Amino acid sequence: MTQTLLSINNLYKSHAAPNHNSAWWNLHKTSYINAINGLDISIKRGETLCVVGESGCGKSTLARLVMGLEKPDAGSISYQGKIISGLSDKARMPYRRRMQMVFQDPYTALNPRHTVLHALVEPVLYHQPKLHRQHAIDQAMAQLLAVGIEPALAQRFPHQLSGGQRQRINIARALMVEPEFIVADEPLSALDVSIQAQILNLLAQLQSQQQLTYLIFSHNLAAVEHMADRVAVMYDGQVCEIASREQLFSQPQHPYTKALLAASPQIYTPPNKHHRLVGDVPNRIPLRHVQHGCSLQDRCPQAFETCRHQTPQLTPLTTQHAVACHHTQPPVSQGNSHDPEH
Amino acid sequence: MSLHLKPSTRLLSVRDLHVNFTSRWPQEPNIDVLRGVSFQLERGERLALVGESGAGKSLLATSIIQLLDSSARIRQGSVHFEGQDLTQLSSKQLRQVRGHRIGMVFQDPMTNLNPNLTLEQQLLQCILSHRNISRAEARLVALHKLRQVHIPAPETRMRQYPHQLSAGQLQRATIAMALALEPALIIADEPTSALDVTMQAEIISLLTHLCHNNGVALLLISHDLSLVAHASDRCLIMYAGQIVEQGHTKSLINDAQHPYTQSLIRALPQMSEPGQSLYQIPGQMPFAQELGNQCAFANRCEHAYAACWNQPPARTVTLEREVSCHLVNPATAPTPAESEP
Repeated sequence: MTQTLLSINNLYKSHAAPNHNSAWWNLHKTSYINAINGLDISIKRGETLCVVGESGCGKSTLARLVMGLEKPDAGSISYQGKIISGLSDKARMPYRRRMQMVFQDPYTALNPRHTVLHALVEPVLYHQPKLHRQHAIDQAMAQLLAVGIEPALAQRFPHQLSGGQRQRINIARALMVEPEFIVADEPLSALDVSIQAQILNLLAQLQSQQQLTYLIFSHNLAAVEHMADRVAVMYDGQVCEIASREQLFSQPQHPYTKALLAASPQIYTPPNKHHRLVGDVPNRIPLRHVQHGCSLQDRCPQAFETCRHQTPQLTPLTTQHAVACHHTQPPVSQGNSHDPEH
Repeated sequence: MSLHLKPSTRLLSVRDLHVNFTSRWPQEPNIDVLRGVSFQLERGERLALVGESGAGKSLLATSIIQLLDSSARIRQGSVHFEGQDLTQLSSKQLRQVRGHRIGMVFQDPMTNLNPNLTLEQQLLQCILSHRNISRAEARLVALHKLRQVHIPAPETRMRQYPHQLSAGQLQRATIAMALALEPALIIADEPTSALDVTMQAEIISLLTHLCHNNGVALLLISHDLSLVAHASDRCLIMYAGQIVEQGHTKSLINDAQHPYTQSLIRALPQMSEPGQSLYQIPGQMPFAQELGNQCAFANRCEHAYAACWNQPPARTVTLEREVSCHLVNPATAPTPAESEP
């Protein structure tokens, strides 16, 4: 259980930004947006790590980098100690089989012209071209039963299925090649509350049966609290707080984590208005413009002088809990603040 | 409307609304999708409409403003809004109501706005088509509304196209557009399901603020009870084209009477201990054509007994709650022997 399965070290990725707002004489220049900004995470075998954050914080880019759908600019991703981020497509093939992805929208993730059976058999035959087709079909039928879909639905097309059934098919398809590691990008956001419960139960049940490791991206904190072992909070391409589930939800330290928790609707307790943030994720910062200090400084109610010129580093508080915020750090940086409210 | 009702506070009253879809094949029967929906909405009240997808929530919203698909038809019932029956109006009269008296906020702000027009063009189009004022005056109204929904630098934003704004700003802009003509009612159909938690909290507090300050009534459609718990005064729970329970949100959540409401609350992830398996509502919502002479929820209900399979439940009205369930109705409630599983 303690073996590290995947580790991400000092990862950077930027995207070319559209130049809509520039004047015509600047249109030929490309500006860049930093999507991932020096990110470190490691995932242990058998655990569920949930990554939470607002849209625009780089969650989907991170998922695509981990899956090898994009190449990082700097930094590395290693899987069981081997660096996989720089591998060629061919050298990567064995790893692709061991890590699979469940996409956000169950409606667009399935090819509308392929039957359920076709969708399930295709990845198996891709990774094992010599396998007999009937073998693959038998595996697909067994997998359908495992995710709680009647085998009679195998000949149906995606439009004949409900949203929950489609998400189950997506999960079944990811599991067809017997992976160890599942990356799920917002697996619940397109689903109803009652279907969310079904999918959460299914994910937990499959994990205990097949010893899967999950990396789940979500902004649904209620679901995260239910399923995560550890939670990483991401902001502007960096991890700003990472902790075990109990610690993160009972003693959040970073102002951003507090704001996320306050914004999450609770059925019996009225919303907490004290930790509200203003403004948006700063997602339009060009690479050439070097920003000093904490990336949350403009939105943080507690920002003080140090936050303006010094970037906080992710510092462990306990073995289970690390935070990147000047407020939680040793007195050197807090000495500057006489009144943390300003 | 009967005369003893107070017309000053009643804004919208939907009575026994039946909407059916005409089948493409003549031998197939038409399908009733809304089956007798009745509710009232007072001025300045925030009403939530909650249910799973497929329950008919959006259909109810579109049949209130008469934007139904051509295959859908209001078979029976009435929608009284500010003293007019909207089902009887001509399309020309309806245009005076839509947008002007009833504003609508849709689910996805990206597809709701025209990508080829700037925000200014779209806002002005909306205002000028209803009001006889000059372009410059309309522009001031638009700016004022954008400020009201807390869009930073509205003068710059107005000249921009929808793709240049973030999703949260766009949704605020659509709320500004819905507000532009000072409607008496805003219908918000899942206004936050395309947004983040932080943006969701902001949009919901904005809508709440507008209701309190401007006296606008809100019909908030959602599938998440924890979201509407603190964003509405009253709540309607909808299942298979009927309203199964309605009452004040606080009391409805603390003391849910209908088994469907109870299971919606139980299915929330925060209702069970982390790591434990969640309660899931068994089965699926029945198709409209499969509903016979029984309670629509009977096949998924833990408490279903003989009466549930034999006749649809009648509406039981208590002081401030309306429930359609045999268990709650004293006339049909099971004897202790029957309720034993």
